Amino acid sequence: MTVAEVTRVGWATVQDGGRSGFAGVGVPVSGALHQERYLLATALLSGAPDDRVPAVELLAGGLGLVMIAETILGVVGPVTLRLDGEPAAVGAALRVGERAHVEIEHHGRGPAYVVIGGWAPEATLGSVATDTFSRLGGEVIGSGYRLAGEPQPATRDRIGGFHLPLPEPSGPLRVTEAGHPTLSAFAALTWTVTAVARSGVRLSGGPIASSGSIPSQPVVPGAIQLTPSGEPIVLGPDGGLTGGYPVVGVVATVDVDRLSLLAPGDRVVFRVVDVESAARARDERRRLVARSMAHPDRLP
Amino acid sequence: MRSSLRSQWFGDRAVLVSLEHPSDRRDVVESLAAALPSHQVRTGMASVLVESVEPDPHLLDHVRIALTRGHDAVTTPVAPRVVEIPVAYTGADLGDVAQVLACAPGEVAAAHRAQEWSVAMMGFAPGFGYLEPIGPMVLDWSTVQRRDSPRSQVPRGSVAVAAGMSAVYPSAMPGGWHLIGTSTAHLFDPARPESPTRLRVGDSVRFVEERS
Repeated sequence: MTVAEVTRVGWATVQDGGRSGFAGVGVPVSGALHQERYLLATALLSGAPDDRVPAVELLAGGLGLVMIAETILGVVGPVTLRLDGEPAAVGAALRVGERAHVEIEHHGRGPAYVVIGGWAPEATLGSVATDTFSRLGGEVIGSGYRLAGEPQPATRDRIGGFHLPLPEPSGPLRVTEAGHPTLSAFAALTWTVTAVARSGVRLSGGPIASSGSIPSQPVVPGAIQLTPSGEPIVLGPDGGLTGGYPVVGVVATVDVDRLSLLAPGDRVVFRVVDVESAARARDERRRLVARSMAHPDRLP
Repeated sequence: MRSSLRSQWFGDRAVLVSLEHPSDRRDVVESLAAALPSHQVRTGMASVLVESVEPDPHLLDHVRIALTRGHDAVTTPVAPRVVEIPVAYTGADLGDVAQVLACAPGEVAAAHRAQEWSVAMMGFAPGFGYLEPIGPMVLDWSTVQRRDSPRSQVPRGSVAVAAGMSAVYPSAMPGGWHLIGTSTAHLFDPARPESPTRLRVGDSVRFVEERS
């Protein structure tokens, strides 16, 4: 059965929290570029963050849907939302009726996430995440794409739940060490974004000394590779599991989501922090997000 | 012995251990996996990465303690699993590789079959194992570098060599290694979540002549 059909779409893929547990055999984690927004969206459906809930990750342009059956819709991110032509709330669990027209326009920074009650695309290795590098999981969504599943009446009591506004983090991107001697020299420079993709963010503005290539080693999202051309690449969730370029530092986990807000031409500055303060900042952010999440006691 | 291995932060939720000898890899991986069962342990050519899901200021201490203790719990060393991969030596670059190694194409094929290989790391793509030569080498594989210009599409099953290593492409993808043969082996099957890949780190690999 189909819960909705895409009438028009910009740049969008199917994502979830990621394909974890298979990195040891070469399968990247992939998943939502902005985990915080994604998990907020899933909480609208599930009542709590749930990294297995499928979401449309909209990176640019619009998304039009026609609902086949009545269900729940939740949208989180820098978008405007209209239901049958009427403005509707972003960051809230909404009831959408049979044949309802959903129109979403992207107008800000970074990805938006759309969750739909009952949508259940096929999973690969336990995840629906679209890995644009390994070409695993879901797919790039095109016009006419059908969202398969069964409408979800069980969670209709969630309708009306909403998130409180959450401030965007600001300031330099925090970066932690990876045993490379030039991290402080790297962090002293102002960098310019030259390209963005799910595989990573390319920067220019060096030069910074690079030792060419190293024996291939495991890498993680947020790792900043120094390429021989002098243009660093900050790896994203589809950036691969191993790399042969020196890693100058790794963006602190608390700031990895912010990489998805960057656009070509942006200026980027980094600040080196130690692991203790990076971990503390992450804990504080998680508490802030938890407080802003829709809870049953906030339902009208 | 292993306490002398260098370990350092790799971001706020991972620690990278540098290996002195590739032969330490298996011991180090087993020690870390046994001591930190809720963490992910991945190998590189000369390193091992221990990863947690969230930032953990104590991870570096935990890794160092695990390396000092070694893997006492693992009493008897288990012999590596041997995986046989059938190959037809018909690759487009077989002649070029023979030229670099100053021998005939048939000798490259024979040496590749005679060589014992070991899965050093998995990566690049799902199911892609980096195979390093183990034991005596008839030919010096390290003299074969990557191709000057990578192919935009290497067919699935291609058997390749480069930078002292060998590999089998689990699916069609871009690649810069020299192609010396093709294999019918299926190295990646996402429909088998309990074991989606044929190769695992530490496996011993033997190439055998494809029977037609």
